[in-house]
Amino acid sequence: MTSERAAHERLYRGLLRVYPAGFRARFADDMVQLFGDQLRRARSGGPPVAVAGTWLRAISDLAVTAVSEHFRRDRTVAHSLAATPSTSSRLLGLVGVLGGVLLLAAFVIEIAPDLNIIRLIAFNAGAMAIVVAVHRRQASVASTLALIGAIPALVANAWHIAMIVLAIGRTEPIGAGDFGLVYFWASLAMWLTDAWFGIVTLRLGVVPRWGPVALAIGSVLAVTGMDRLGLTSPDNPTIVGPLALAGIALNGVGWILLGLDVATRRSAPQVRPGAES
Amino acid sequence: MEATDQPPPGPPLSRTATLVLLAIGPEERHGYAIMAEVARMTEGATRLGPGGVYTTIKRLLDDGLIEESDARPDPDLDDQRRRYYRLTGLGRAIASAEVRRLDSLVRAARPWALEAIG
Repeated sequence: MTSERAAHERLYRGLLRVYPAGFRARFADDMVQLFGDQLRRARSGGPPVAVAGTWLRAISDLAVTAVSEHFRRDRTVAHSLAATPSTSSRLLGLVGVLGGVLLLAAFVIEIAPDLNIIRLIAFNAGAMAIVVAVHRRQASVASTLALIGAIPALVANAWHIAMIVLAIGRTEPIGAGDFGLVYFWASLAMWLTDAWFGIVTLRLGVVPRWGPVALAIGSVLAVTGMDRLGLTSPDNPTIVGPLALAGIALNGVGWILLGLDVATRRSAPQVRPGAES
Repeated sequence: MEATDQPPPGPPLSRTATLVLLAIGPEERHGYAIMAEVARMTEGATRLGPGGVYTTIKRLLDDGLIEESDARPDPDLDDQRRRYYRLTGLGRAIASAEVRRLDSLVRAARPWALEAIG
């Protein structure tokens, strides 16, 4: 880089102080680079006054957009995204958050067996609420893939609830005998379809990525702790046990993040048929 | 979400945001390429500066309409420091909805508007 061009860029970088600090931290380097590109283009292909023209346009651009950035910092670019979540979306999101929190609660407090049944049912119900709420957004992007992601998770979580309810009053452990085998498959289906829903949600990109990432990774890790797979047992503690527990916690965190987004974030726009990618 | 035959009730995007979304299109583009594409698409009528490009990119990122891409072209062909952006699923859906809305407007106005000019 020539010293003259470096001087231009230093001066331009100094002018960027008119933007809010947060914006500057994110984009100052890119803006200086873009301005440098404009200068290089002006020097190579334009008349001698082209550099002055580039500066004039840059200062005008800077004055207008810096003021806008200060006063309309939190505006949304898409007017249709400005609508607040519907009441039903808020409700579904809160049910999902509650389910995730109850799942995590067992990591910090002792929960009585009777209450544990309610906790597990609330967890599955919360997951189903989130699936429904997120699917509403996904359907506007890719309706078929959204269904393929949502239906297995809904069915598997409903199946798991049914198994929990059927287990009420049984004297032997829930994982024992033929019932235990069916319960194993219900649990396996639940974790795998939760992971699948996380992957589909990540692919469709209608919510921030951390929720679906936590859900996908957590659900897969949780599978490794299932008794019948034999990867871990009280007699043979390995790293798999803690990993599986971390996976269950991560699954709960995933539902909580998704629930918070659904309950608080703006809804997706309505898109006409045929607009899906 | 229930689909509808009616177009969205109003312009869902600001003009600059629409141009930036359409300029990115199916590609992965950095700021300068976006600026150049906007100028090309509008036949030079709109020339965004660095501020216009990046204040819009910031809002599109915050709204989840675009995302930063990890992909980089051949290092010999480009500067590794450049950040590239691509549309998210939501961004594609909104861009598509906006194109349909504009197309509907143009089709409705074309018969009389072009006749008046011609």
